[in-house]
Amino acid sequence: MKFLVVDDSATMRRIVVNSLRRIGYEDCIEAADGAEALGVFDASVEFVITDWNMPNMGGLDFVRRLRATDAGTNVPILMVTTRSVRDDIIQAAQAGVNNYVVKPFTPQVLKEKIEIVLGAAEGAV
Amino acid sequence: MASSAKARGEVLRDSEATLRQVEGVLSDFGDTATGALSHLDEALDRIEQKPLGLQDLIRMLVQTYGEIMEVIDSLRRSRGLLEQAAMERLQTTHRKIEEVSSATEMAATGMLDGLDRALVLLDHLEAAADRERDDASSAAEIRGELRNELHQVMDLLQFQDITSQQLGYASGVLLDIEERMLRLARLFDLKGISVERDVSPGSSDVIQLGPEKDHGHCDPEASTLDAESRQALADEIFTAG
Repeated sequence: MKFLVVDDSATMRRIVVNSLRRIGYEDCIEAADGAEALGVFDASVEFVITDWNMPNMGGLDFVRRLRATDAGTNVPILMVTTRSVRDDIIQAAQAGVNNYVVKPFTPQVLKEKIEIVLGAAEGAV
Repeated sequence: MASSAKARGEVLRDSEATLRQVEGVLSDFGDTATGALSHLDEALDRIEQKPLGLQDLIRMLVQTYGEIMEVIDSLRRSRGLLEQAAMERLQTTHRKIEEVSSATEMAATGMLDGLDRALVLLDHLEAAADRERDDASSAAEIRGELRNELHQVMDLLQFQDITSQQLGYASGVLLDIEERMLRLARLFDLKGISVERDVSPGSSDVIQLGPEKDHGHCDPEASTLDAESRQALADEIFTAG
């Protein structure tokens, strides 16, 4: 399964990619903001993990734009962010995020949310 | 890490010095303005008590003019001090905050590189041990524990992203304050008492105390604390939705 990891922090991208590899997902591409992510996204990406607060184009804007494309309509999206105010989380859900992980996270939480999103996606097929 | 702590200390000292200097300037300005106002009150009282001759009136006007010029001079000095002290220090503080952020990013990257290399070495050790087949089970157990420890250290490095956002927000607030102080300084730059200031809403001569600026890609609420309870709120919303 191919993952797209979007975060402006190079450290955080490495931590997410490392966590993914530990749980068996080796194929990862990276982007430093929403604009770059839209540029590298194509139909081969099967799962998107994105931060919220990023320069140029933030995560929420990225999710909305991605959902508006043919290839991005149904791709599972997990938001991994420091933002944890109720209204923010609701806003993310309304934008089209499938699940939400609050930083700092543990690999177990990341794994659990990925499985929930993938389980829901399989159920929907 | 030691350089980050030193830079943080310098940032705090600079901020404190700037605040003290601004406090001093505002206090001096307050004293001068109060003095001038009390002289004007006194003059008005005297005019009310008995009618003045032309000479008395001219003398009083000259005295009042002198007081007003003193206030304007004080405003100009305040402007100079605000510009010199506050602006320079705020910019230095902003630069130092960026240095702290950059230093933690470099330190975190270096630690991640080291952890990656240690994990590769562990893989080599494991491969070698498998070839020699020496007491394989207990050695494999120890290597597994060591690998978990290294991964946990890697996960802990998430602090870098969070502190970087906190610093970025603080840096943005400093820049915002700097901009507001510049506008305040411009307001004090009176060329003469006959100059009319534009006080219409939206004018650059008016200090707008509107909502706080959006500090871009930094989350002001970013925190390393209470992650579990914050995650529980997200779970509740996504489970209900």
